[in-house]
Parts: sequence; C-alpha cells; structure tokens
Amino acid sequence: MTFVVTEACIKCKYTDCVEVCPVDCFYEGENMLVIDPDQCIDCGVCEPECPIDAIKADTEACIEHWIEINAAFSKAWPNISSKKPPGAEALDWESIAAKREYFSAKPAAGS
Amino acid sequence: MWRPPQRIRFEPAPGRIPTIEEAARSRLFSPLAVGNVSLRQRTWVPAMVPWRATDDGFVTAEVIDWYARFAVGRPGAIVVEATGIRDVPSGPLLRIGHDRFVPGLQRLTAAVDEASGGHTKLFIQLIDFLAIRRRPERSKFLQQHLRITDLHRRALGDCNLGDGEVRTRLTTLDDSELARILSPQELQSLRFGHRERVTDMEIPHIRDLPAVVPPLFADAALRAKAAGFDGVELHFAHAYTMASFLSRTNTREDGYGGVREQRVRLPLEVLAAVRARVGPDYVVGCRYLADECIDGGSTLDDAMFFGVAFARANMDFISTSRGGKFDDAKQPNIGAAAYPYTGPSGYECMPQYISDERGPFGRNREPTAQIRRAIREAGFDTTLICSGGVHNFEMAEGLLADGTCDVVGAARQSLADPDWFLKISHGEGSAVRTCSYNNYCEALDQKHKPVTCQLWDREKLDVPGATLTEDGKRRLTAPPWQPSEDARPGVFAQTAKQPGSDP
Repeated sequence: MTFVVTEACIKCKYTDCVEVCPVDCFYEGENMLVIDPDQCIDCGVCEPECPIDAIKADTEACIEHWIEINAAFSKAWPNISSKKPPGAEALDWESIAAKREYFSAKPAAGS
Repeated sequence: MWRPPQRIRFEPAPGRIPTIEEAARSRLFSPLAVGNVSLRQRTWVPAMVPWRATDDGFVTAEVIDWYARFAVGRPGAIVVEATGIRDVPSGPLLRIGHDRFVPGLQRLTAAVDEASGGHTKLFIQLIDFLAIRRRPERSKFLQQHLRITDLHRRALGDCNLGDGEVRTRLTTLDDSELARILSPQELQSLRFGHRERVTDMEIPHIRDLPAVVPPLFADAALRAKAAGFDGVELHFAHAYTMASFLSRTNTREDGYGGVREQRVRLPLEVLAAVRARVGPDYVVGCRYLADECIDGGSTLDDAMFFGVAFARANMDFISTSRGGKFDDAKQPNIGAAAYPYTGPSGYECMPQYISDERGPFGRNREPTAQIRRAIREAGFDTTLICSGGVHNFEMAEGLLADGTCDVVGAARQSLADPDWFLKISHGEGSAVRTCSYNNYCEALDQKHKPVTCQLWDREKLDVPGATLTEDGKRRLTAPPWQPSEDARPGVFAQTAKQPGSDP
C-alpha cells in the first residue's frame, strides 16, 4: 500500500502535502501532483494535510486509474518539496468533483 | 522501505495506565545495578542517530539539546548514538577517534547529568564500520571504477584487448550480457555501489582488522571514560564490522571466521582490550543481534552461544537487536549509498505499523528471553536489555515480569514522548503521546535529515527557545511538558524505593 493523489487535486494543487513528506516523494505536473509509489513509505502524514482530501490510500475502492497515473507520472515530472501558492482558480475548482478530463500530462511549468 | 506482503495494520495503544502507587511498586521503576553503576529505573533509551553532529564529527548545540531533552524524562539510561572510533571522515556522525572530540563529549555528559538531575546514566555506543560507496553511474563504473582483468578479456573473446578497448566494449553491452561477464562482486558494486566486506582478505586493511580493531575500541572507550560517560556500549549489531565477524556469512580462514567459536573471537578480543584499558570497574556492554534475519545468516542458536560467551567474558550488559543488514537492502538510486534498513532484515530491526501476523511490537521478545535463559543457565547474571516496539507501561512491565529481560529499551516511543517514563511514574500516564510507528523518523534518517517525530515536530514552532530545522519547518526537540496543576512536585524526586512517600 502507498498513498495516491487523486482527481480532486486537478487544477487545485494546493501543495500543503509536499511540505510534510519525510521522503520528498511528490512530483509536480502542470495541474496536479502525484506520489512516487516506490519512494512513499506509507507514513500517512500527507493525507490529512490536503485541504480537499485528494490524497487516498491505494486500498480504497475505485482509484485504480489514479494509482496508474501516480506510478507513471512520478517518473516523468519534476520533484516538488516546497509549498507554492495555488493558482488563481484553485478555489473555483474545489467544488468540482469530475475533473478527470482536465488532467494534463505535462510537467509543471518551468521544468 | 520493505514491508511484509500481508500488510496488516497495527495500532499502538496506551494500554492499562498505572496509578502513581502502582508505578512506584512496579519492576519498571525499580533500581538495578549494572556493573558498577546503579540505574534508578529499568528504562532505557537505545542509541538513535539524529544527524546533528558536524561534518567533522563534533558535538553541536543541537546534539546536546537532543540528549538533554531525553534526560528531562529521567529514564534509567540513555545510550548516545553510534560514535565512530576511527579518526576518519564519516559525515555528520559523532566521532571519538581522537582526543580532540573529548571536550565536546564532556559538555554532552554534563548537560545530560544536569537535565536529568543526576538521575540518568549515560552510555555511548562505539562503532566501527567499513567503507561503502555510492551506487555509480553505469558508464562511470565501466570507464573508471572497474578493474579490468583477463577474465573480462577472455569473456569478450580477445586476450589482446587493451584496458580502454575492454571498457568501451563492456559499455556497449546490454545488462544481461554484462551480467554474464562481470563477477558477482563486480555486478554487486555496479548495482549497489562498492562495499567492503570482512572477507575481502586481499585488501591489507581488511586482513589486518583483528590486529587493528581492538586498540581502536580500547582507545575510544578510554576517551568515553575521560568525557564522563558512565560506560560504553560496543556496537556488535546490524551491518557493521563487528557484526560482520559474528555473522555466519563470515568465511575468513585466519581463525576469525567459520565456526562460531572463531567468529566470536574478535568481539571477545575487543572486549578484553577495552576492559584492560578502562579497568575492571567501568561499565562495558554491547548491542548485538538475536537473529540476523537474512538467508545464510546467524540465527538465535548462534546468538545464544555468543550471549553466553559475552557473559562469561564479564560483559556488564547485553542489549539485543535484530536484522538491519546490507545483504538484503534495497538497491539505492544512482548516486546514493545502500542503506541497511531497507530490506526484510531492516524491517525486523525497525518494523512499521503495516506488518504481518506477528506485528511490529516485541518481535525480539522471545529470542531475547531465550538468550537470557541460556545466560542464566550458564550461571551468569548479566543484565539483558530488550527493545523493539515497546510503547506502553503494560508491555514494558510484562517484559520484566515474564523474565524476557532486566531492562526495557524503547527508542521510537521515547522519541515520540521523551517524558513518558516521567508521566507514568507521576500518575499522568494518560498524557503519554504514543508512537504511531509510521516510521516518519526513520524516513528522515534514511534521507540523512535531522530526525524528528511527526507527532510533535510542527507543534509550537513560535514558542521562544524552540530550535528549528534549517528550513524552519520542524522543531528539533519535543515541546516541554508541564505536569498538571495538582501534580505533586516531590514525585520528581521520588524513586521506586519510596512508594507512597508523598511530600
């Protein structure tokens, strides 16, 4: 088991989680974060940090898609270990549950 | 970090909380003579590396704060982290391989004495380790590190190739072809980084270890005595030099390997050298493995034999651990070094809350009980210390009641709450912060970051006097604990010998 960043992160990307990770295993895409399952130690410290509950244990139901996204894109995107200000629209996107179609495979800008 | 595939989650609980009177009558809070010193209670904080020394191995203010914070909780004893006995660079690990390290260590012993009000005995763990290199880039390894031999030329089918040509050809091979040409050891160096072993007899300084190591330990022990420590703990455990001699994987043919009588020879010679240097009255103990927990490694049977041998040689205390070997460590990333707590044996050493049927609490309990029984049956009363997932009074008292050990060690629980001994003896056991065993601390250790506990490291960051990590995100020591208002101040001075002596 590891922890997984899920759909709710898309276009919100609050980055509170990256500050607390003892192994710095978050990676940053254009509009969401992912966790590297090979580095995550399951300590669970990040889970309650997310203001929108985007971080889930990979044992939860129906998150297979996000497990794959985390595994694949953590190898492609740049590492992030310091908090950044969220985008201007983050608050607007918080309440939107279905965001899968907005997922961007691009790495974070400037990388 | 490796975890058992069963992935069963365990939740540590505070257990039954004793009253002040019950705590005062308990075994845990009763005194015990260990060699020439007397512990005021049978609680023990085992060695933990907090990554706070300077890169030159000196004591810093942060090192002193770390140990003084544990001392405020007044455990029976604290063991200072693994401290290198050689005068060689070893990163931000404490060192004791030269007299210039003594003044800093002296400040440390004085600080602990002051913070504990003279209640806590302080030992220092002495360690020797062999060289380990970072995992190299494949091309760099083949172009520079690898020593080209005729075996490589033969495998490539041309005995007249120059070294440069051999390197070039090896570089073009795919991984499976390369694996057929390199020796197992060369392949290991490529995949994990080169690591010296006690069996590398072709290397002079490895061959000479039996002559070199005893005086190094003896000199270090004498410095520890000069610095004011109450005793030394010889590091005979995990992945380091002395444990490698004890290991069944030690096949040296110079009388220091092979059968266990020969594998224990150097550790006993180290003990004898230390004893000769510090005198008969100074406390000398060791930490060693009840089980190596690797294929082909030493087992409990070996450990029982070694334990009796140590007891017979007048070891004052024996502290058990398990696992923590390089042999099954995870492959490091390129540019990083292998770490002995990343494989299944590492899990045995520091098991996490995600576990197997046996769970993470007390995995060394039964083995330690058997070692202690063997030592008692041989007629020795050597002090045994058991640790591993001990996190509440009930469990600690149980270990003493059932004869597992004489003193109870708790590393992670003491990091989570350095005051837990004090709280329990104070009748405030419900205020104990119980370790979650998520191994956040161990993850920081692996990253070589200053070790802290997730349960307190972001609390009260702005309180005056709080020292923080360089990035300002985490506090370096647990916030102070204030006893509740109705607490009786005299309890702090109360020992288990004085039950009910209310002020």
